[in-house]
Amino acid sequence: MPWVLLFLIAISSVWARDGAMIYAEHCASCHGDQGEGVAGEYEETLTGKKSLKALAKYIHKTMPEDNEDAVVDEDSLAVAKYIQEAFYSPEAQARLNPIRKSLLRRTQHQHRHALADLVADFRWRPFFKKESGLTTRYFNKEKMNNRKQELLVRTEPTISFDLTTEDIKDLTPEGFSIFWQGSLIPPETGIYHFRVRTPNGARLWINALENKSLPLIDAWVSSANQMRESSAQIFLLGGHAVPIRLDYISFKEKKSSIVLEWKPPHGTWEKIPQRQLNPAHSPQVAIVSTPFPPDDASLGYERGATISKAWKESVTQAALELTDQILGDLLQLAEVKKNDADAAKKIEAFCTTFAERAFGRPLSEKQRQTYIKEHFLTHPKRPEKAAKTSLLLTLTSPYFLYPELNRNAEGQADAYTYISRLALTLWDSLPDPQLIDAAKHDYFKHEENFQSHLDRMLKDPRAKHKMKRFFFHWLHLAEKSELNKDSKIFPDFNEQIVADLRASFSDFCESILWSEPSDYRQLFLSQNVPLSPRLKKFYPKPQFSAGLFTHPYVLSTFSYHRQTSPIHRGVYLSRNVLGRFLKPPPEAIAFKDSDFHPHLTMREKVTELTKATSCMTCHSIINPIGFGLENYDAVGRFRTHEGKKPINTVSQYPTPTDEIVEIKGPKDLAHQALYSPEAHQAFIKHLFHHLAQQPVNAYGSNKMRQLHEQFKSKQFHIQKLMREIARTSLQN
Amino acid sequence: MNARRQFLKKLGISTAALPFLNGLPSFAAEPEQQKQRLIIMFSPNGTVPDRFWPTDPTDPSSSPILAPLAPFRDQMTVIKGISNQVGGDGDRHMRGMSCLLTGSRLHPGNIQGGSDTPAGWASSLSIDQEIKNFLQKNPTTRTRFGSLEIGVAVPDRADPWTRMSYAGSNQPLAPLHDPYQMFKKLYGQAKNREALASVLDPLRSDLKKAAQLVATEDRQLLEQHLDLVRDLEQEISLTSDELSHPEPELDPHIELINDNTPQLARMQMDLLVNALANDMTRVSTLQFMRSVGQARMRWLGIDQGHHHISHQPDKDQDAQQQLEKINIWFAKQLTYLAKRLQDTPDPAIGGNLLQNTTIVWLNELGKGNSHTLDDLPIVLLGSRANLPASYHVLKQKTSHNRLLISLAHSFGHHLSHFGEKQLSQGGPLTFA
Repeated sequence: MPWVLLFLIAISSVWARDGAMIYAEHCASCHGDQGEGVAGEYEETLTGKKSLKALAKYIHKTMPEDNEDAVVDEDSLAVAKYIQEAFYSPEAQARLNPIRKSLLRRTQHQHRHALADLVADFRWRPFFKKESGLTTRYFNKEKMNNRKQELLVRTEPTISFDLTTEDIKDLTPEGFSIFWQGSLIPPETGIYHFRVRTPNGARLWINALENKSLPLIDAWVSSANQMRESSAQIFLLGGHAVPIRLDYISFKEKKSSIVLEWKPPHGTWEKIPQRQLNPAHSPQVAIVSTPFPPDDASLGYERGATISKAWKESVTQAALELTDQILGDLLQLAEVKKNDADAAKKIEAFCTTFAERAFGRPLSEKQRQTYIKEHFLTHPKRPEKAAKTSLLLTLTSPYFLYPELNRNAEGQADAYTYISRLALTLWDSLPDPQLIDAAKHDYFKHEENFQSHLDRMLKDPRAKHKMKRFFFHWLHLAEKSELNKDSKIFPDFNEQIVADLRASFSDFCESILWSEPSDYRQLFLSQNVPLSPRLKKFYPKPQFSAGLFTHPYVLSTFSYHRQTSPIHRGVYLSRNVLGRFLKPPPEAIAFKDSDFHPHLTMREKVTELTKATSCMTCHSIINPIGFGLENYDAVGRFRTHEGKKPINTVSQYPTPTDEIVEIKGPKDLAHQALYSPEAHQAFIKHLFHHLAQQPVNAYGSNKMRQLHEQFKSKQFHIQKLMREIARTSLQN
Repeated sequence: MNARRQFLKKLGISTAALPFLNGLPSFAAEPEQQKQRLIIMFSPNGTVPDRFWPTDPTDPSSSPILAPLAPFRDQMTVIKGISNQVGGDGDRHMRGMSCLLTGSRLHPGNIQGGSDTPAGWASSLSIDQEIKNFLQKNPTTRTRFGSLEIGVAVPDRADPWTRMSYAGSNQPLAPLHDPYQMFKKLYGQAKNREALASVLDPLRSDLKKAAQLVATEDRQLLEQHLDLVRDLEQEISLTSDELSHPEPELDPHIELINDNTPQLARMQMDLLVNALANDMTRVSTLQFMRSVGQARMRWLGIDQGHHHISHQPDKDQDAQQQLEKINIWFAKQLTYLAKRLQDTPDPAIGGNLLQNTTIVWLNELGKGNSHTLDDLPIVLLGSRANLPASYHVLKQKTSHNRLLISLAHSFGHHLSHFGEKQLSQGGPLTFA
């Protein structure tokens, strides 16, 4: 050991002894021997993230409460040093309460994706074409024949036609038909509404094959050429493309038009945007619509740490729903031919592969007996009955529900365990056949194989979809889905603007993430905020100078109904983006606008409301951030005045290292996000939680520091960080 | 093992042995109510009149086509002289089908056959739905489904030729033509519980095994899971799926193709009888094919499509013989259905199901090649909507709306008119 280090340890132990004594004498009566708190005195545990200097200063100035001069100067520094090492700092807490990886079940999101992928791996995956839209065919109709003469085939951006405006060569207005076909790519999971408006005939299939299933909307028979609206809804999974097809016919009718609209989750009625459509064919997706109870999010991210009766019921119901879907297509999935003498064998083999993929490893002899053979022995002549109970057992088995139970016969993690973790981390799903194959041959022993699988996995729509959700979780935008403003003050801020803003935010973040540099810093520097025509109109003079700090979706979400909310902006951005540690307020004070003189600015009101010392511990951090964004009103539009008063955005901000810096506006906030290690670590932490559903410390108390060093050394490359997190998640 | 068997028994899995005992409680629950049921059976493309209408006025089964129904001649009514007089848009097949149970005009629309003007859906609800709504309003006659729309070899397309039941204007009801879907609809929940119950043992044992694999801190989660499995088992054992009549076993390998129609028809009828016996519904339609249907009845040695044959002129002897064969086959289906109902004890009232069931057999046309909507072939069996059992030849052309009104009246639903008012004049049918 170098002598310098020895010296430091010696010094620190001297400090520690002194500090400990002072603590025992002056502090422990209120804070408890280990900072655990004392009933009737100071009840909260004494933990936090203040720097040594700041902590010492705080003690020097304010402690003990009844006798502030008792502990000052070197003594306060000694106490600060002692409590930091003993229990105050996060590192001390991690040492005192070592964090471990806990056994988790799949979250509802992971569960649905796993079910869909289980079946999808027996079908095929769509190969998207570059050009988006749908293949469209025009025909003239002759008598009963709807496809007599093909007039035109082309790719169209969406499903919409009006005879009064379209000019299709040789089309006979008395009788013609149009067919649109391709894939629909749902941007998120939830209920999608569709409506067909036509005075003629139309049939719509979604996630169903037109020759095998009834249409979702059957409006084939018209009624006196009157405009009709037929609607239906269907539950779709984000990122899983489904087949879409619309057949349209106009026959001996004066008016001919059709339009298909949708209302996606968080969206409004509109024609399906072109980028959600692709001319490629897709197979049907096994989507389970059984509702699940919400997952535990008490740690700030969703994870399957708890189970409940409602959850168990959902798992059972979902298993039944999926089994039902599979049995409807069993012969095809099991590749049974007509009059196949081996039908029973093939169905048994299908159930075996199904269980192996669900559990992520080959079945043990015992499992093969329990999950497969017994069922086929019980129903020797009814393989579909055997399949039903076998599939039900697989889908309710702990080996499927708790991915961490994927261990070898000795209970040890092996290559199969790793691919299971990898698929969960990057896809929220199961290992696909390629990963299983890689595990089988132990390919991951070679780094380049591992890297090439990571390449492949990151390009997959499942990874894209998982990351789309990240940005909403990171900023805590996910739970704030209801965004609306006072229509008197902001008359044009309607549902459509909100839907467009949400999409714009998502696009903004994703385009940076999936770009070549994939640079975290661009999230705060880029001014390329994508704006729909509606948004361009609403934000005629955009001042989006600091990336997501000035994105109007963020600014309007963290605002009141009528006014800005510097406190909301300050709290959410300081915690999640700048990584500041804020304790819950000592007392909850609601902001009531009517309590203040109407001529005061929002800044003046907040300053007045939070001026107490106990408030300012945290509000000295919160307020400057909120004030720095006061140039943006409650819908994120730039302004220079509030009422008649000019806006003052300048304030003094204490950095995590207790330097005081001036914040003049969003660019200064961006500077903090770019250069503060706390901000970097907050991003790493959130991404880690989102991907691995486990605390970073569970992988070693050094892990955060390592990830941070790598992140910095790789130019803040987000995708590379994802790779590192994926690699970390393989650890036991 | 014994406990397990008891548990499975509670599930209703072994109730096959006890069909009558299980029916007793409901016998006590509903003693005074006279149960009425209705089945409307449809076959398409007209009949062969001179082979259909009875030759002996005292025996309604005295014709080649109706001969298979001889065992039921005492509970059988044949009526000649009923016509579908609903005018308006649509060809006669279309009006024959989509106005058959509604008695009102079609909306104008975009569906056109070989002739006449294009048309759309029916403009009002059908009589089976009218009666269903009437029964569902009353708690003593309400059933789980209210009505079933059952199809046999109905193609998967929706137009006025394929639909006869309507919940209202522009609201066609699709007949379910897949017996496996029908089975699922009727017994799916019970079957699911049965399947779930059978996997609980291995599930428990794997949860216990898994609990040994994990750290002590994590064990609690799996133990909690084990408790939830026990809860589920208890719930399943408390849910009674006991049926008065055990569900029929379906041959699992019948593909939904033309050549399997005889087996599919039988499966559907078995399911229908079972649903009635278990009082899941009191109203049902049973639709064979569709108007203009092109069934190729190779099981009768007939290769050509039914509709095509029905267009051949009277002098085409081969065609007429084939049409006779086809209609005899439909009569045999009706016979099978009636026989099954007769053989099934009525758990609530005693006697058998046929005694309290009106079956009406209808066709959208009188005759295929003329496309006439007059003299529709009409047969009633069982309780016959309380009409006298015999062969009636009406003295004058009578609107079929009046037959529909008679059906409602036999349920105590005293409609003054149904469908078009004009065509309802005279009210329910009366025989002089």
